[in-house]
Amino acid sequence: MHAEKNTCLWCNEAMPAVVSKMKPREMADERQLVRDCLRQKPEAQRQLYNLYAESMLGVCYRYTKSVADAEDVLQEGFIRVFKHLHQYKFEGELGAWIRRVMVTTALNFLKKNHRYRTELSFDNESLHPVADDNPELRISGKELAELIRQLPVGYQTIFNLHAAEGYSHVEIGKMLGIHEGTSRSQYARARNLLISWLEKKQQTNLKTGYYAGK
Amino acid sequence: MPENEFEKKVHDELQGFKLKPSEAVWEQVEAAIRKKKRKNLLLWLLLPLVLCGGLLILLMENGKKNSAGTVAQQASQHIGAPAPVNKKENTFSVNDKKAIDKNVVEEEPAVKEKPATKNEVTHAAAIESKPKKTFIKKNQPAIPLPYADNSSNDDLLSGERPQRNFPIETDTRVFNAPLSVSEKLMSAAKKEMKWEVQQSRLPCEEIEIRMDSLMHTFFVSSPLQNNKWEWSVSVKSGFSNNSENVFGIWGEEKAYDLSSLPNTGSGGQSMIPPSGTGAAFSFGVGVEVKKRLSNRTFLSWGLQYAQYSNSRKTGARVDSLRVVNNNFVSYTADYFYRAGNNSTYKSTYRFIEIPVRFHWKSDPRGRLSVSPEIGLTLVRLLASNGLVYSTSQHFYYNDKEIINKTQLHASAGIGFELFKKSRHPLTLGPYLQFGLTPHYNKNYGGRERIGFGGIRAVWSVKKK
Repeated sequence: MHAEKNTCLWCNEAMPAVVSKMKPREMADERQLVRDCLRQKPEAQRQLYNLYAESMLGVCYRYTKSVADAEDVLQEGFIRVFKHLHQYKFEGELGAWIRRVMVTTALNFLKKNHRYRTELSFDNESLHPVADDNPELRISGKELAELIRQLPVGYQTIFNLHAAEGYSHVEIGKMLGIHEGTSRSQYARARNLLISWLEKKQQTNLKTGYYAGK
Repeated sequence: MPENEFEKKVHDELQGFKLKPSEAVWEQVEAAIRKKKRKNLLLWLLLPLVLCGGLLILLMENGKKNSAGTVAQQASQHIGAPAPVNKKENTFSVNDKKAIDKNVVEEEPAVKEKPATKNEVTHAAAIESKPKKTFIKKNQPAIPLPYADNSSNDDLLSGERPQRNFPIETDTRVFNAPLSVSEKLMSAAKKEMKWEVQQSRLPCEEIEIRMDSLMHTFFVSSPLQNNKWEWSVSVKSGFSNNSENVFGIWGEEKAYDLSSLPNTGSGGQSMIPPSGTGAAFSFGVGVEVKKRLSNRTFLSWGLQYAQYSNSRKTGARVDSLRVVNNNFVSYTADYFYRAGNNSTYKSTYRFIEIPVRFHWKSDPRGRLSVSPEIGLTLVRLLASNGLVYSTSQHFYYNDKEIINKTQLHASAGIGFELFKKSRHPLTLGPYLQFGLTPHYNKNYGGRERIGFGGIRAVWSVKKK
């Protein structure tokens, strides 16, 4: 039997399936939840929202510069999730599908919103060497997200897409309408900048700990 | 996947990063997914009604023509004479002329009659072909006229002046169809003319003048000559605005000096009032049909498309979904404009209108007649990009649902009839229209109404 694949909301292209790490019982529950949502059951919709809202706000937060904007993206993203839920074909995790919807919604928000759009311009630069250093990450996810949000919008977006979401530079190039090399270059700059900030932050933390007698 | 150790660490660290959204987000999501689009039932009901109305008008017009044609045909069969070639009200049949001529003694051979053609039968032709000698009564049977007064020869011979007033005796065996007012008038006029001819001993020149005068009175100058519906194309253009009174139509948009507004300390936005709207170019185009009620009064109605606009100062546009709550009714806006005065936004409202107007003509026979008009217009919203202001959230957004989709407007105007002798006279003049129904529904509130002021031109497509 021909298995239907998950399709992208925007271009209708087949999306790669994410291998599920869920247990069979959880998967059955999730399937039932999706079916109930498709039947427009309010309690199921609320349950689905409660299940993924916090982690998805974390995603939206990394792409924007304020909590209000992140909530706007989350709201728009969930409206799209419920509107296009019939396109989810139970291939891969539902969370991964919702995450992709959120990322796409966030990118659309950045492109449409004047405040972000002016900063989201990418120059076609030559390939930039990526630094090989792998500093220790002694900060929490929230602190890391805060640092990412300090990056310029272009760097922030490409860093999020590559490092956090795992998209390749070819995919990022297609998503943002830029050259693959530009994506690599922007990412390298973002990575170097972030590593320098991380080192500085870790030194500050070290000094603070030293003076505090830790 | 990230090939580097750093990327893997970042990925793992960010996967577990969560933030709790505010309750408002779910409320807005829920409001958006529960929203059901109302079906535009009224519009779908209105359109067939208008179409049926138009069809009915056409059928009635055709029915009138057919019934008139039947009368003429029946008459011709009854009297054995050819039917009048044309059923125009202000024409004079050749048979009428024959009948008149048969009632007089001709001292010289009668002028050869021209064959009846469609446009031949004017009063001028009838007069032209009349013998120019003294008329003398002669008791000989006349050919009955194919009109309502074909029994009038006896009346004429009895010497009594025929009455111009109704009712006119009719031969019900033949004329079983109802006669229009102008047909009756025509009949009465002929009766009077024949009486004049037979009773008087006037020289034929005098009679000719009198007949000419009579014919002119009844068939040329009379305002009742055209009792048909008059079709016309109407165009209006001018300025419109949303205002609480008529005088606000031409108002300019109010731009607030944001720096001078009181700041409540919470970002300074909570005290920003909505900017006032300014007048913008608007127009309307449609068709009208006009019916004469009396010598000076007319009633018209029609169907037209109108586009009203206004402008207002706003801040920057934000392309983001936003749920707006107005008196417990929530709406999800796809985009919104912040309060401010950075840019000018033009709101456009597209309507379909059914106007009903009462016209009064100052001098129907004069060269330039002035006709004041008043009326009511039923309008139905088709589309809108109009912005409304959220008083609680301080931004402008587009919500078609908040507008009263069916409105009643009052209108008044003065028309100056130009090119009156042309086949297509033009009526031009100032025109004012103002909403009796508020523009926004109860959920939004406000007393603003749509007002329009400008010039209206009506181009008649009737054939004289």
